[in-house]
Amino acid sequence: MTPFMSTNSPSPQKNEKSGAAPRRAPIEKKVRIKVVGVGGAGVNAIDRLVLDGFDEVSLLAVNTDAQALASSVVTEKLQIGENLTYGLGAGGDPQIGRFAAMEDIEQIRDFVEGYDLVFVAAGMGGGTGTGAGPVIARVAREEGALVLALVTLPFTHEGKRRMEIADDGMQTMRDSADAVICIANDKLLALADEETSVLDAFRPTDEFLSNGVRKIWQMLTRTGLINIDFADLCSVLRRQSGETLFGFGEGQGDKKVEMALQGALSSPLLNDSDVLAKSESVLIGVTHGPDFTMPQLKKLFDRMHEQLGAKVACKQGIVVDENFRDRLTVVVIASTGEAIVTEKPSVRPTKKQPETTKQAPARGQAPPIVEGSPEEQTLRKGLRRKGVAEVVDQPKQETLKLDDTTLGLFERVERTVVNGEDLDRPTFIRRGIVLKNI
Amino acid sequence: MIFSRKPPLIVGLDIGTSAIKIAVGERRADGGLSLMGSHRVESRGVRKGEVVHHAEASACIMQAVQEAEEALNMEIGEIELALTGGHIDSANQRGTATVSSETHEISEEDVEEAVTNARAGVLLADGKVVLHVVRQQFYIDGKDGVANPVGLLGSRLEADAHCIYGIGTRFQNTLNCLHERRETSVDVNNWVFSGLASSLAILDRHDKELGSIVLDIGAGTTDYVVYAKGMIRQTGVLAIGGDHLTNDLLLGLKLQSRRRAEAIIREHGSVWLDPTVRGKTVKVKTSDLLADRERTFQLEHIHVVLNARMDEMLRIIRDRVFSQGLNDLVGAGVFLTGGCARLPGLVELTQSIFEMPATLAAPQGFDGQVEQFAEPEMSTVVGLVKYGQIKRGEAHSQRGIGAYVRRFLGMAG
Ligand SMILES: Nc1ncnc2c1ncn2[C@@H]1O[C@H](COP(=O)(O)OP(=O)(O)OP(=O)(O)O)[C@@H](O)[C@H]1O
Ligand SMILES: [Mg+2]
Repeated sequence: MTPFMSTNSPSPQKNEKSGAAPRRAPIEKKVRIKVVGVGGAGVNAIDRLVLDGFDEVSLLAVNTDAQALASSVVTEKLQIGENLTYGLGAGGDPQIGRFAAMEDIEQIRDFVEGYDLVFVAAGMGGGTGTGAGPVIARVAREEGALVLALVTLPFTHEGKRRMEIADDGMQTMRDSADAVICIANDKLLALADEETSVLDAFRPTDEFLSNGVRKIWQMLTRTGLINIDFADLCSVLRRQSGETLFGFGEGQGDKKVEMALQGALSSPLLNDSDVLAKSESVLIGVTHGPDFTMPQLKKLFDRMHEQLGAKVACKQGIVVDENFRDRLTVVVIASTGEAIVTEKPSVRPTKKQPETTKQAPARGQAPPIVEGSPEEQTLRKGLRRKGVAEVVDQPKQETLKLDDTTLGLFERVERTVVNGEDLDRPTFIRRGIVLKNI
Repeated sequence: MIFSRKPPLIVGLDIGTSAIKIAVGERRADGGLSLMGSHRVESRGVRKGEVVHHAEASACIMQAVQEAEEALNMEIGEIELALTGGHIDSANQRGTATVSSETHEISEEDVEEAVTNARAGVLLADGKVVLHVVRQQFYIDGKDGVANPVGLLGSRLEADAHCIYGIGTRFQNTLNCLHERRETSVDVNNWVFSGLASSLAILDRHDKELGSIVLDIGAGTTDYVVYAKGMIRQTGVLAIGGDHLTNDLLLGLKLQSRRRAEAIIREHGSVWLDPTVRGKTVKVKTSDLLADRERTFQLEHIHVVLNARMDEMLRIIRDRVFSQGLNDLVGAGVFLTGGCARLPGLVELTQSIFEMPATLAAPQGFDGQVEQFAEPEMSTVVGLVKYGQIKRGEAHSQRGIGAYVRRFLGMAG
């Protein structure tokens, strides 16, 4: 089956005449997006968004370094770990970055609550981005957002030690966010032209991160002939275990198809291997003008699919935009691993019930909870979404223990464990008490 | 240390999880105690009753000491220090001594030896140190029930002692904070298990004779002490406190800040489930960072979360006390103190779980500035002053509990 046919895409011309009525109902609810830049590199990246005049999403700059934070152009700022670092930064120590985030976890929660999609942009290899980034990703996910991390790896010339720290951070990030898009600074620099000065060495990185956010935003919010909506993005990215790839390209004039494809497929993330061929799910977003023809579109998708494997689950979106006359952009998001569907029943090892629930409730006791009742089911599901039961769903869980983010009050001190039960976890949760409609 | 200049004032320092408290008292000529003033600052770097962040905690302690010095117009050189932590545990032990004198008159040395032998019976895991050896009672030639055997006749003396112990390095974390800077450093006269101190502040002789359980429920820990027949029979710490209530509510109501959770507990909290609150709601401002928003909560939800935590905590302690068979020896009931004792419904909940009377208790039986001390949070610090006073009374021998502690911790007071 050729994916192009499967989309049943109507002819753009025809649609033009009929008033470009979208085939599917537009997204009812506006997707609320937040972009959090963490640490020096992360904040630079979101500064770039502001400088590029992109004000469609809510931005937050997070850093341990008060001075660096002060110089950011983003309006919403959060300094973390003041008590730990006295505003002097994490000194390249991810442990400090992590503790700093833990210290101000409630404030972080305040900032990320209520968003559907949260981008966490951070450079790996330093202290704050590497350490605090994953904590923020985790909190955002706990708050119910789809969390997409955009991270950069250090230049090789920054040394082996930094690279090791970065690799560790990446790993933690993979465990914390739904999906991680990772880019090596080396590769971006390779694309930069000869004139790029040392000062500008990070500019491609910033631009890449900034572009990533913008393209995904566009894909989600522009109503097209065929929409890619938030659910589609979730199905590709939610609880990703494998590699997440992201590329985009633009084209103009006669050769716009070639140019756009060239750009999308030669993106630093896609060019060096046959990762696209290994991808299991792919989103392709195309924005073109009303003058784009059916054969051109077919050519585009055919060329695209030559790069993809046979078993790929492909979803494509098409937006027709008046402003894109003789212009074309292509965005590709792909994941190599199978997305872990959260709804599938958790296969938690049965945990022994706390002794106390067996006792007959005394006066002043909580009412018993009906096991298997709808409320209980919702709670369990809720807990899973909130990450409580998710530990076992995750392939790796070394660096950042799940419970940590909710235990700021008990940091750095021994857990209170009685009869093998971790009493620092809320009693009502361990007793399975359901609070309806919270 | 030179003993010639005995400072007339006794200063207690309680480094609590939520607040540092200082109290100053004076030993009256008649042996009684007069409280003169107190000071309290929010604490930092302390979790579950232990210092976990040296710099933060030191700074905060020094601030408290300096402020107290200014407010009370005095210099603080020596203090009585409270110690707690989830690692603290206790055991009752018996030790024997052969009466040494020709006349079979029991001497203070014989008593010491028997008590030392009792202490030696505590099997200490690596790194554990004994904080207190509290004498319970003595047996002369197998006959029981002597409180002070000195001067009596016999050939074999046995001593029952209650030993309170914990991990040395963890105590040290707290002690280290007192010597951060030379000019402000204070010397520790005695270190005292904070639960023991609290019990001294709230129980009278009668309560101890009748048998009582003291629960000091603070922010980080719940310290407990059980008296029966006038003797300490059991002590311990469960590292559960107000911070757990806060954390549970934070998660349960999906609140965004700890302070918000604390305010809700203070304004709307109860640990007793009253069916009449069903359906009642409270409105709470939930965010100060984003735009102001108001959320409505079911009062019942708040109470259910808090009840679950306290119910669990009380049951654990009840089981520990009852498993030692002490329930029948406790006639006066449970005395609830520490900041969390203020929680509405706690008295009722405790009564239903322990099946004995329970009361909210604050320091009592002192002269002086009584009002500022009559708060449940102040029990530990007032008890410290009381402890200091008792030790001064015993000071002539220099061989009291404090001396033991100093010796076994290998430090000079
Ligand atoms: N009115 C009140 N209702 C409920 N809780 C209260 C009230 N007033 C104070 N608290 C709680 O009491 C606790 C503080 O008590 P306290 O000062 O005895 O603790 P602490 O000595 O600092 O801690 P710890 O002894 O565990 O180290 C805090 O958790 C606080 O939230
Ligand atoms: Mg206390």
